[in-house]
Parts: sequence; structure tokens; C-alpha cells
Amino acid sequence: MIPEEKVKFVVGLSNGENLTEGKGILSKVAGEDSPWWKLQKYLKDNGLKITSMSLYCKTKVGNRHYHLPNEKNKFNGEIPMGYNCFRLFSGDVLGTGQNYEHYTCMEAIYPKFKVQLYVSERDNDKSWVNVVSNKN
Amino acid sequence: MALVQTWYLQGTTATTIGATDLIQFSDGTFDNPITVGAFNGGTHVRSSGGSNSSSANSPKNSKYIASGTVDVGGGTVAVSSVTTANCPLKINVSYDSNITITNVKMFAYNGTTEATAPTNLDVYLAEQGDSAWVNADGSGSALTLGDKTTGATSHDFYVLMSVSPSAVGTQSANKVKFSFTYQ
Repeated sequence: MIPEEKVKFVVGLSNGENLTEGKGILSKVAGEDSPWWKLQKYLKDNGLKITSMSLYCKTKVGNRHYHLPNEKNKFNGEIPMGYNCFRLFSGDVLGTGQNYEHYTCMEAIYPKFKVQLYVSERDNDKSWVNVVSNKN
Repeated sequence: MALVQTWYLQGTTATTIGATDLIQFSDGTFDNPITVGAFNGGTHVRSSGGSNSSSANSPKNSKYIASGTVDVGGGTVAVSSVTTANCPLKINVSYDSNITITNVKMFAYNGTTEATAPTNLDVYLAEQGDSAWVNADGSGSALTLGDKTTGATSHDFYVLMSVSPSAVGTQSANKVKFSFTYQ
């Protein structure tokens, strides 16, 4: 079994709400939709959109907050047209089974590219920023 | 419960492939080598202690014949005709809440560098329903499996796998990597 994810997404919504994965309406409940899909349903049902996204985790040296550009970006970056969050798992099959990678990734989506920020689930102090083409 | 990935070698009864087990490809008989240049006649689960964990389960085998054909025990048939029950490998990904799975990739490598092909081994993979094998040697040649876009707590992937050695000797340093994104 892969350890439970420690890195959680936090979103700000167009109605001013702030929601955190695993809490409130985004609680993780066995047999129900994952917090991400609960969020998507909540957005659709209420005509809302995500206006900011960050990742949060507690590590042995303190709390970690990783932020994507947003409407209140103090660095005056480009405002994304959307956001996404997913987990990446990659592991060996033949062998000891211990050789695996596990990340939580959030994306700021722009018309022609996406900015991705990966945080390791195995070591939450490590993160990587990546830019990929938006092929959608 | 968090993310759980479980691999099975299917047969009359599925054999769970444990974290310390090996998938062994043989000429058809456990521990018997495959002739160089030939393909596997048997697929087995070999425990870390060397025993045949799948011996009582009549494990399935998929033998590469040509790009679009395979032998799963009854002679040459189209890869696309193989049923889920006849696929040797079943990979189950489960989670406590309903997730979708995308960007599913599978490839073989030398056990050290993902981009490097397996040592002395040619590996072919296909997902159930595919029309042709993929020579999945190294991350740049990975097999892409179908997305699971309907949320569920359990998702199954059915895979055919065939190997051919290019040199004598046990090739156990090679590994297979399986990767995906979920949300």
C-alpha cells in the first residue's frame, strides 16, 4: 500500500470561499467521489470557478505552502484561465516494489501552456516547477 | 486506505504478485530457460525464495507471434481477440474514494535508467483490445493504456506481456514500470 497523501490542495473560489481537500464539503469519504470530483460538482452546481490554488502540507520542519499565480498575485503574474490538480504515481513491478515515485501536482492553465508544480509525497519538502504545452 | 496497486497473474485462479515476487517467463516449464531469440511459453510467479507461487493456478501465458498476433495457449490468434480472462496480467488500482485514472503508461527498462531498454531482453506489451503489440523497451517506447474516466474505487487493467532473450543467463535485473495520474 502506498502511504496516504499528505499534500492537500487549497482553492479560492469566485464567491470568496476557501476550500481545503479533506475538509468540509471536500471531505474524503470511502465510496464517495474523491475531493477533486466533489469540488468539480460543487463548482458546476453553483456556477463557480476557481480563482486561486495552492498546495499545503505539514513537514518535519514546519508547514509548507506552494502557490500558483492567481487573481491577487502580488508578483503581477499572468492570471490563469483555469486550474487542475492530480496525483502522479510511478512504480516498478518486478523487484522489491519499493522503487516508486508519488507526487501531487497542481496546474495553472493558460491558453497555450500549463505551469505545473509537483510536490513529492515521499518528501514534502521537495518540489519542481514544470511548463508543458496545453494541447486541449 | 490510500492508493493500492495489486498485480495478478491470471489463471484458473489468479495469483497475486507480491512486492518481493518476480514474474518469471520460461519455455513453458517453471525455471526452464527460453531459447535465445524465442518467446516465452510460460508465465509464472516466482517467490523471493525461488518457489513457484502460481503452480496450482494454471497461469495464463501470452506468446508473441508477430506484430498483430499472439498465442495464449490455443494457437495463433489476433491480439485484438484476446479476452480479459486470457490476459496474463491484471493490474488493479484501488482507492477509498472514487477516482479517475489517466495517462497510464507501462514499459520495461534495464532496472536502472528508465530510458534504457532491458538488458538482453526484448519486451512486448499490449492492452486487452489492442490490435498490435508495442515493443515497450525503455520509457520512450511505453505502452499507453486506456484512461478510466468514470470515477470508481477500483479500476482494472488487462495486459499481455511477452519477452524474448537475446543472450543466455537469467535477466532478473530488468524491471517493468507502471505509471498513471489520478484525481
